[in-house]
Amino acid sequence: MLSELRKQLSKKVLPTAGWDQASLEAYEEFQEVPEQFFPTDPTETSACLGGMAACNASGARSYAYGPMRPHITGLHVALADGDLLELQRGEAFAQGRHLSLVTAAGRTLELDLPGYTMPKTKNASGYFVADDMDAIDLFIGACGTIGVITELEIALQAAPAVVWGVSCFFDSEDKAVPFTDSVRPVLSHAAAIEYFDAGALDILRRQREQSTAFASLPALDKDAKVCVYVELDCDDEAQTTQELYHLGWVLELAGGSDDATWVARTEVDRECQRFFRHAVPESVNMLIDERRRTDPTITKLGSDMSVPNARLADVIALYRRTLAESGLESAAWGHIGNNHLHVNILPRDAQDYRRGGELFAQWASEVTAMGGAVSAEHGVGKIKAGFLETMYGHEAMVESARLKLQLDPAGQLGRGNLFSEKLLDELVQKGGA
Amino acid sequence: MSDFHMVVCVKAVPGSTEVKMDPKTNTIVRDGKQAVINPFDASALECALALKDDFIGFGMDVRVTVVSMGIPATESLLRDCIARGADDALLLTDRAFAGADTLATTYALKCGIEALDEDFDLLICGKMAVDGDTAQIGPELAGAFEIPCVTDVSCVQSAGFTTCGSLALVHGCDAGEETVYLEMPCAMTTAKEIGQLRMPSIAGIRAAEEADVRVVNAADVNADPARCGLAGSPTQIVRSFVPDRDQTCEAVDGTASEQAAKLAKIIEGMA
Repeated sequence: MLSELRKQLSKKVLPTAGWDQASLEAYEEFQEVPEQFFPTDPTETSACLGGMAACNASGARSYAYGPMRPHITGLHVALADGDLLELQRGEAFAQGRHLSLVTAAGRTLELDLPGYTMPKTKNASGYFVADDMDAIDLFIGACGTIGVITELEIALQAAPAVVWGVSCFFDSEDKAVPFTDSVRPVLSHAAAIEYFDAGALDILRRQREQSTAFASLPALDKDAKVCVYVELDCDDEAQTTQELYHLGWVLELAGGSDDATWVARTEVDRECQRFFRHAVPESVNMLIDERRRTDPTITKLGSDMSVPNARLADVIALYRRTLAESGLESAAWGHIGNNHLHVNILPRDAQDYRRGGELFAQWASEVTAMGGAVSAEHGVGKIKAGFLETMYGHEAMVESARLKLQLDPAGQLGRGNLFSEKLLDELVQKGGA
Repeated sequence: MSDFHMVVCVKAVPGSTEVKMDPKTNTIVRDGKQAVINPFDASALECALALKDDFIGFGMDVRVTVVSMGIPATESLLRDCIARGADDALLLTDRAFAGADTLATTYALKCGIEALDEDFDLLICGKMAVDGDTAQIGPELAGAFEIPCVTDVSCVQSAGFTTCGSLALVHGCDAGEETVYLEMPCAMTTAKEIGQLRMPSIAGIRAAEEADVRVVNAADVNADPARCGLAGSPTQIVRSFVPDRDQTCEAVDGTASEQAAKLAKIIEGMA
């Protein structure tokens, strides 16, 4: 579990019972190096590392450190027939779009990879495929559809010496979006650039007033309509201060104020900011739970789409225009540094829920046209599997399903994930892969 | 001169629970590593800053001065206080202050506060420090200045200040809570509930870098060396130790009457 890993890393004490000599020697080496950390940080700290690998999880710090994928150095994958693949990064590569893998039982698998091109943006939609790709990358983010991850090896890295969090408040989204565009090339040590829109901040204001559990949230100024949060990971305080002043300079140029900021430099302040950031999704979940008491058919509708840097303003304009037209209630937050916002529609009833689903389908088409991804970090799973076809087209779906059936001939693993069961069943009936 | 001057006393305490003790003096080793503002003092500062906001709203000119006694590295914590909204700071640092108990600390702080260029209206301390847990400094300072003191304040209401010149303070007492009204000058010690210390802004951090933190020694504030540090501390710490935790837990099972009988036997054995 991620929280357990973090706890053990912070103490630098790991349970070593039953470890072999090589592991114990590696452990001794670990004790001597500077503090290490695992940078992937999904909000949910009870996330399991295997699950994080299966969906190629991301988090706020993915802006600097990428998603789970580059931090995985080894995988053991159990195949549907019980055979095992042992994969180490850098050892097995595709030839173009063809991959030959030898299983633990000595069987050779000849796999034809789909021919689609992935968007040049944060992306967790469908299988990771590229010319001459490392074999291990196919199984990361495959949503459990081609094998079950039974072991994984992750690479840690030296923890940054100084971590400061900076919340920048604006009186309008029209200032926050250009600020994001401007600040990205200026900052050399930004680990995260996150966003909270007016709907999200309003929810926090209400929660702070109404719930004792949220009473310790820091008070928001009445002029604070939206917030951009920047995390700076630096080598020393002087470097961090320099980055902070660069940030303040861009903030002023964008029409913000360096007075309307919170800078968390101590553990107490960082914890306060963490609480603030994590209170948003938690509050939205509570709000939906409340509404489900009157209409159990509704759920939260959260988008997970990303676009290239140049289309950030366009995609936000799309969200604002269509949300205003629909009259749906919403709150948006997430990874604006990666042009990747979670726009959450908060349905009041079944009709809202249906209209929200239709709006997401519309966004999937328009985001695809912008060169974006329909899912940037969650994976399309079951509910958004249809968006994958919108993004890559039907032929790509058939190629992907055939790849799955090469590894899972009966289509048993992760049924419903990525593809419709109907498509899989049709292919199985036609003879499989 | 300001219309209203608040002095907040803060202490640097270890950022972790792993406190190092000096084996010779049995006092806490303060090397400044990962030192933080004592959490109760952080609440005291927030109380002062919130009052400052209120009073500025009343059209008053308000000043918040932060005072600390500590090692030279404490200056960075005082700059942090300024970044969060304090106006200026005074650091009392001198080997002569080392090893002070609460009486000697109070004496040094009093000398420092008297050396400020302006008298205070309100003196605010955290109700206790998390490393010493004495809860004595605030009341002792009030005694030294011969002003009233309210301890364990959880809420301050300033609404009536401009009309009656007093603050309404809600504080913990044996009966629970009570509200008292205090005229200035006075002292109070704060509970954490009074508010979480606000974060600094970028503008505040810039201002703090350039701010003047006055660093003084015992001679600068005319402190009598005989009343400072270990020399001025009647408290003698003979030994510091972590209490042995040798309690065991015994489960008592059976029916209610059987459990009662077993429990009675255990209690008899303790006599």
